[in-house]
Amino acid sequence: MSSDSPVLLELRDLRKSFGNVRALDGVSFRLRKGEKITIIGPNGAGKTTLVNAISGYLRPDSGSIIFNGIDITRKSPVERVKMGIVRSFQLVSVFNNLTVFENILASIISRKDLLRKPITPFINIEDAINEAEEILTLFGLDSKSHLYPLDLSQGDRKLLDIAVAFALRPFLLMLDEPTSGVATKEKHSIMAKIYEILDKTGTAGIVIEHDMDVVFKHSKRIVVMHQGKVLVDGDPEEIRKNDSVKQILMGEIYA
Amino acid sequence: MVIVIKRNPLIEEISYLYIIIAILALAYPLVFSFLRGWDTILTYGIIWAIAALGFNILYGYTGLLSFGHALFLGLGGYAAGFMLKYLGVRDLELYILGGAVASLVIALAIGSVVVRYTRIFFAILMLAIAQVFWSLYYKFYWITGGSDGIKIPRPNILGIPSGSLDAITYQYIFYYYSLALLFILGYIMWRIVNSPLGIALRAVKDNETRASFIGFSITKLRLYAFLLSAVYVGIAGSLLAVHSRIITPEQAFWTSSGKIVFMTILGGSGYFLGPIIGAIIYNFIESIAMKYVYWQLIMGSIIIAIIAVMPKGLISVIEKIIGYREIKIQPKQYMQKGGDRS
Repeated sequence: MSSDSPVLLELRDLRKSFGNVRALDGVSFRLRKGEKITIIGPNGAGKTTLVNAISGYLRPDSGSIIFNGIDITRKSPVERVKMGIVRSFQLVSVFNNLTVFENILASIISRKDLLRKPITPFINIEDAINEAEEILTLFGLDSKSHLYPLDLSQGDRKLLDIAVAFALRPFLLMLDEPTSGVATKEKHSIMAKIYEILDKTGTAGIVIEHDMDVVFKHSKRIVVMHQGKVLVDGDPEEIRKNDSVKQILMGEIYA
Repeated sequence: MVIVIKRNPLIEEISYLYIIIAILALAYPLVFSFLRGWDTILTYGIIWAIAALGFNILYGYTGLLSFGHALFLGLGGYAAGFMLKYLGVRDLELYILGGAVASLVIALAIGSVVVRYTRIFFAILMLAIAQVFWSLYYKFYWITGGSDGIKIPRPNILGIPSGSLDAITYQYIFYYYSLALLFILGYIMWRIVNSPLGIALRAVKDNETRASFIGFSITKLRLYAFLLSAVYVGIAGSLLAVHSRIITPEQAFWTSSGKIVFMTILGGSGYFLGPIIGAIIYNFIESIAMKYVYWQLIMGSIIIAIIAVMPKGLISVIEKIIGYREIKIQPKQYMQKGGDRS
């Protein structure tokens, strides 16, 4: 995204320790509206802790999180969802007894607050249905809308999981390893799809990813974390040239 | 966007509700003429079907198993009894209304507490509450008539004075009246389970964590299902008392709760029509079994056999006959027809 779009998320010196381990050791960065970053780093670098802190599942020991100009450090996860911060988890978590279509519809029903009225069985939900169709088309799942999640390939299940989160129309979508457990071939297509959708809808994204091929092919901005700190923050070229990154990351993974 | 998919028409289409209602409508005169005595059992089946239908929105759709729904059978029955005894009401419609309102009020009072519990805790809590009410009906015998209960003579139906009808005509009218109620309540329930509320309830049953994560209020949704089931079972309770022509504490006893659970599982709790089929067949099996001394033993053996052979319930037999069907469909039509749930 262009560098003049307003700041969506600002992290100020976030710190979180688990006993002696400093999972977050003064993390600060800014994310603009519609901007996408990929977070990489060796195991235990604090990537998931960071996402947990932003989504409200963990309360940082100190520091603050500013979203859309509001300090959300003390807000609950549900409040943050309502404000537009939505995340997915490392493991796929969808409704296995609902069809793909109904999975999406469930999110839309919740977002549109269709259950508020007691006469819900008799209201027209054409809009919600149309929107569910649009989202499925966006994710390329439209031909599978009547299958159950367990009938899908692992890659499609991942996409569905993300689509359920996306149907809440977030401003910021955080994806924790969206391609884990997926065949290499599918990884690229899933990543391409995610970035395409985020671009198209102007949604900001924070993606945690392990596969370096995937990271360097699709990312525009990469944040490298190591021992709870942001080591480098820059475009793929910068990251590739950085010696300490090579040492820490490539060393660990490709040694 | 047209897709060819394999669908299960038994779950997909409301037409099977119409078929069951039609069969039941045609069956009564035949049963009445050729199987004297069984016509009463069939009427009981219809009434229990209303109760089981209401029970299943809570159990089959929301995943909360209650061992205490006799609470609402009792409330429905005693609502009718009290209206007669203390207010002199003699109209079936008012009894039904009274049963529904009484159940709704009590369900509202206890609901917000009980739905915070799930699984065995919810089941046992409901059992305990129902037993408390059952013992109250005994203790306050000067109000409730104790174990003798309250006799309920035939009430007026649709404003027709019951005295002006002979016994057989009255039985016919009462049967078709109950069947019409089953149809109306069944249709409303069908609309509910295929509405956003139905999807939300199934989502809660399926994956509570994710459901709350996408913004559903879990306790509120469970409360909706609880209230809905209470009203249905309350209505059935009023009808049951009228059909038995008496309300005694036994209708509120835990064995009645067990009966609702039994017939729902017998028919198939995973299907919309399962409880209806289960209720009707249960009443026939029970009447046959009751001729023997150890009839509970027979009933127990039957449910063990059914769970072993047909874990999805008796309805799976019909499912096998009808089979799956390949249909071309668009998502829009799909929602109008209703969703699958297995």
